[in-house]
Amino acid sequence: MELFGIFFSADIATAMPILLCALGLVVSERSGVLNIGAEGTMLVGALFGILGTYYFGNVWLGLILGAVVGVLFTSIFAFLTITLRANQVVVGMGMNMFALGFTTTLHRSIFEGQGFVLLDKLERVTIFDNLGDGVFGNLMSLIFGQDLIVYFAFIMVFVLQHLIFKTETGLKIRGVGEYPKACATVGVDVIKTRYKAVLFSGIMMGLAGAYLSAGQVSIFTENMVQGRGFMAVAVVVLARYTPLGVMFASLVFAAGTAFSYILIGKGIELPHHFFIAIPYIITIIALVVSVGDYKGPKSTGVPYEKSA
Amino acid sequence: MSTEEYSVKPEEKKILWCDRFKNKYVRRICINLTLLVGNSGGSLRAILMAFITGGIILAILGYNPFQAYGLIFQGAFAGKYAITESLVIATPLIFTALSFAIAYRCGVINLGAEGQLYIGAVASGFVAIYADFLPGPLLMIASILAGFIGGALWGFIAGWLKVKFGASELITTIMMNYIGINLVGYLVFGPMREPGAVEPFSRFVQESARLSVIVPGSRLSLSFILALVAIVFYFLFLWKTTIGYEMRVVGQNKEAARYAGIHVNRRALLAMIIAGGFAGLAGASEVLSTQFRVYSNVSKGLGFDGIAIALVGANAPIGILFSGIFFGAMRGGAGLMQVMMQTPVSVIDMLFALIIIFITAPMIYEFFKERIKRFRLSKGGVDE
Repeated sequence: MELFGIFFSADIATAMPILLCALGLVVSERSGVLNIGAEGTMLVGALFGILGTYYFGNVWLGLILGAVVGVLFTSIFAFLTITLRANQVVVGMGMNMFALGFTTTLHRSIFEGQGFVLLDKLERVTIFDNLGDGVFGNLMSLIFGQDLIVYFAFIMVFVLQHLIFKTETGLKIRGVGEYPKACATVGVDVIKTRYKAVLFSGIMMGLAGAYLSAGQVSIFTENMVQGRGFMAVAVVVLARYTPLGVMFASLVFAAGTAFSYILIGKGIELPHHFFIAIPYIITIIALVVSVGDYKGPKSTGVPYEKSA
Repeated sequence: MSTEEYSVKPEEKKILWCDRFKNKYVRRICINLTLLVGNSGGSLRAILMAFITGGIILAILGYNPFQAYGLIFQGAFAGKYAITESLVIATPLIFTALSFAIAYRCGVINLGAEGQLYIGAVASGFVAIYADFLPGPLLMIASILAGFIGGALWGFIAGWLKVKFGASELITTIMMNYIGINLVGYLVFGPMREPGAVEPFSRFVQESARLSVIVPGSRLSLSFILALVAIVFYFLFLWKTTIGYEMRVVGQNKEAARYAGIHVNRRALLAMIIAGGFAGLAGASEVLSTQFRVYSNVSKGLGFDGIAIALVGANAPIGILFSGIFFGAMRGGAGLMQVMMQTPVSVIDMLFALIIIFITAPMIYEFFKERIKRFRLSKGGVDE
């Protein structure tokens, strides 16, 4: 039973950055922009999350800086793909590469390979002081003992679910992702809607990265995102482009990694690589069995060209 | 997610330029040269712009860009060893670039070269370690073939999922990357691990399986020759065979290809198989000529670098050769820059990325030209 507690808290911790990033991606992909650059945006967010925390001495300011830089970074992507209509996939890969080079160079030029101490850390919420042991205690600390960002992420799931499917803004976003030309004829500004959606996703990706570095481990290491951005891209596909689905899908994805951590920690000689790979296999299967089902916005990845 | 809009811009328009030559043979040569080089003109401009932008970023970060670029150049080309090292680094990059390019020519985006490379490396390593009953050269050839087949298998899976189920290759190839990397991790941590080794890696490959060095005193080996052969194959296959022609038609206009009776799905699948095979050869070349054993991290992004190289080379054979060597030289030369002025090697990633961006968004020049023109006009209006 104790193992379950460890597993679920590891699962949630691993899932959080992926969930935050994927929530942003859902919105941007619904609007017809596939941002493979999620990985790089998270990485930039991660570095600036640490820099903000380090220089301002406050982890919340660090997280905010991460989100802000995430938006700035994504705005370059948005300009290239929406205004200039460049190939989203290739530009996205370019952004990833740029982020890797940029963060590594900046990190080395600032800290010059030396360690540093972060004074402020993200505290866990302590509503109840002593939850006791046993199943109940474990469960309660799992539910009530997370940090604020975790609650924020879960609240965002429902907010976005409502926004995308129940509001006019959501209808616009989905519209420009499916039939941009039709939307334009009824007076929806396709370009502007896409910009808004993509920039929003930038906030979430930057925050996801900053949370990963400043919020969880209080350190930046080179290339620390380690494929979580790509995982988020997969999560969105597995979730069939709904925020609610994203919540479950990111927990599934994280489960593989969380399980392998436990195995390594316990020194159990099971092939942990296998458990890491399972979510990817699940995603492919989900892609394949979704034949005839909803397969994602029709115009994702297709630049919109204003016709005269 | 349709792939239509990824299709390659027709080069055939450019070939019209060759019609001015009345002599049949001169015209022939001229056409082939155009095909070989492709639309690489934009690449030079992109490289220049990337170096300028990168230089500004370097200057902001507090490094002298001129000194940095000078040292990269010096590190890449000064002396015989430096040049051969550049070619050594270029070799796997040429393979992964061909992998991206052949799929791209057929309208398929292969983001899975990294995973295909891993599988190719482990397959090649497996044969080169355990098939010690094969005599010398045969073992070498078998190991290279194993690399090709391993990568091709990985490419085939993604291609099959695409044509059979309509699963977007953008997603499946990325997924297959991680599955491949973890599979190699499992093998190297588990069954293939050298007994008693502290670090997870396999045993050394047999001496006879190693690709022999062609320039004495350097690490430049037969694998570079193999890369040149692959480029020739790429050219002959795509431009001189019917199947290759059909693949290019599929890449340029899927509907037209279908209308003309071409088996679009079969061609796309074949493109992914060959693409995987090329990436697999990159893995084989790493294992058989530079690393000599299989590590759990065979490559750190060689597959993704291939995308940049293919783009810079305009997916044309000679273009890829030159851009591969160029990228290899930059990576090789960056070492000297890091030693001499403590500028991290990662600057190269930044430059590569900028090159990709400038190539993919050539509209950027028009955009700013127009803005400047408008700005001037508005200023002129005020003056009057």
